[in-house]
Amino acid sequence: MTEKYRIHNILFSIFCILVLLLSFAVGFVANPFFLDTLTSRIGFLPNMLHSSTVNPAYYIPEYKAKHDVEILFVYIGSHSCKFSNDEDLPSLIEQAKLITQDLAREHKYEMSTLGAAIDWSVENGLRHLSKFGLFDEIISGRKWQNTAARLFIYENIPGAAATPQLVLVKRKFAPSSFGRQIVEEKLLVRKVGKDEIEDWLSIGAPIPGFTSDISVGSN
Amino acid sequence: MKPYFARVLSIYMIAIAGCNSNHPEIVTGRIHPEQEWISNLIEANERTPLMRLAVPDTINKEKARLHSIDPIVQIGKIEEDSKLMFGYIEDLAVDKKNKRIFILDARYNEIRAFDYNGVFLFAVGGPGVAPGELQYPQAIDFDDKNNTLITLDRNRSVQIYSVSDTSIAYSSSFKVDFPPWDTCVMNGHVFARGYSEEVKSTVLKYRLDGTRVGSFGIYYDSENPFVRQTLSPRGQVVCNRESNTLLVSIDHIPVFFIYDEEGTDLRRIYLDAFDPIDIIEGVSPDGRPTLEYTAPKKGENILSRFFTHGSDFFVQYFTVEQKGGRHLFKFDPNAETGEYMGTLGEVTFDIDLTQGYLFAASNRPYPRVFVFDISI
Repeated sequence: MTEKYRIHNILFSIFCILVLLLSFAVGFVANPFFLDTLTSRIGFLPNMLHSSTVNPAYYIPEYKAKHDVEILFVYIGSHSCKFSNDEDLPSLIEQAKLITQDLAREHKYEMSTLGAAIDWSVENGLRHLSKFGLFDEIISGRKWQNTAARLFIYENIPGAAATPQLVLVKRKFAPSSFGRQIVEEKLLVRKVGKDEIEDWLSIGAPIPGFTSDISVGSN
Repeated sequence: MKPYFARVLSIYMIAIAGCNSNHPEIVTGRIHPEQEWISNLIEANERTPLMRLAVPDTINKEKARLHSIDPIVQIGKIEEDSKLMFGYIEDLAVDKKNKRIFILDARYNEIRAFDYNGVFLFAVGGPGVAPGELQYPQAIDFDDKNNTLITLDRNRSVQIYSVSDTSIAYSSSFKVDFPPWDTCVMNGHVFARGYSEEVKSTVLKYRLDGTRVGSFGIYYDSENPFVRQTLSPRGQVVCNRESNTLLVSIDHIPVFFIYDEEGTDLRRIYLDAFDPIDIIEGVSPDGRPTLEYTAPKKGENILSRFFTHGSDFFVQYFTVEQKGGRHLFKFDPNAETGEYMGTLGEVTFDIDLTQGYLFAASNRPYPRVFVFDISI
């Protein structure tokens, strides 16, 4: 009996290990950033794996809110838009995220990223955003009634209703009774269409307001 | 079973016929703009005489000098003062009397004024929906007789600013009756270019207080309402404040219309040998009408900009995959013929022939305005 139990235990352990390995493999196939997401969320090894002195090949959220000023990087795309699904676009967006992150670090600003999918189907939107690496936050569904579209196209910071689109917003925070609140929001950059995004990156991704003391816009 | 099957089949066939009869106007594969419609437009008649413009067979290189000139001033830098870093230059207006250029930035939703030397003067606008703010700015125009600057928003609003020697101030605003594409201002009236199915017109005329006082303009006359309502709104309107006339165009159509302020059809201008891109009519898998803009093919032509100086109008167009830049023509609608002015690499927005300047803009790889000296 004892011998039989031991064999059962060994077989069960092997089965568990195989299941674990299989789930990792599935995770990688579904999302190449799976490990980063996992390690960051469960809180082990992220700082060792992603030291701030090492610049990884893709953007990794810090999951922190420590500075008074934030650069919010918004990507607005769509599963159903031919131009949003251009094969070169994911690498351009990744490059733009990393450049923005470097600038934010240089100025001791926080950086966060928002992926917004202008699709009716939440699932289709998520599938589209999964091609664009890691985001701190995502909004998908409701087509142009999407909350991100309301904020960054129609209402708070109005601009062209088109995809793909990249919007950089500078936000200032102040302490409030529920933690901290946004006290100022200003458009830094809006690039509409792959050509504009690509051109902007080709000239070094300049951001008005970072290189001069004159504020952007007439505000 | 057989009679039952036949009954079902006949009901099905009737249903299909019924569905088809709901869209008798859709002709899948029909190419727009239709040549027959263009031919009807250019048929000369006494009431609306026709002027033909054509690129000369042999171009006099001395005369076509615009091709080789370099700009004397560039407004817009990759990285410098924020006011010199544009998001996207959508339109320009030039105050020829005071040598000022108003640049409409569609990303920062702002109008920035510079002098001809590129020195920043002042700015107005900013993103928002409040009076004087811009949501989706589309076009700008300046009336130097009244020092009135207007902007047109895709959200249908017209913002009116009064401009002094040193500053600009919001004056008033109103809404137009259709989603507009272009605008111009003349003699205290704003002309908005779009398309109204209600009055079957492409230009609506408003007083500065927003009262609509007229409508006119030939539209793209397709029996398919989807085609008509898609192709008719897109085009330009230019006010010539010297002759009190307007030029109205429809995108991809090589015929332009000259009207007086009341909308009388005075003259038609035809760009000879202009080959527009194909726009194909069809139906989507779920039965909705579609229009497919085909990728521009080598040799096809695309209209760029229209502008005006003195009593002349100017038109610029380019040929796909042809080196040498965009062709520029000048014509006085009251004269018999127009003049070929040569080619220029950039999209020209305005010209100041009195002082010898030409204003062009480019958004690639970064937005900037060029001032050319053409006084030589």
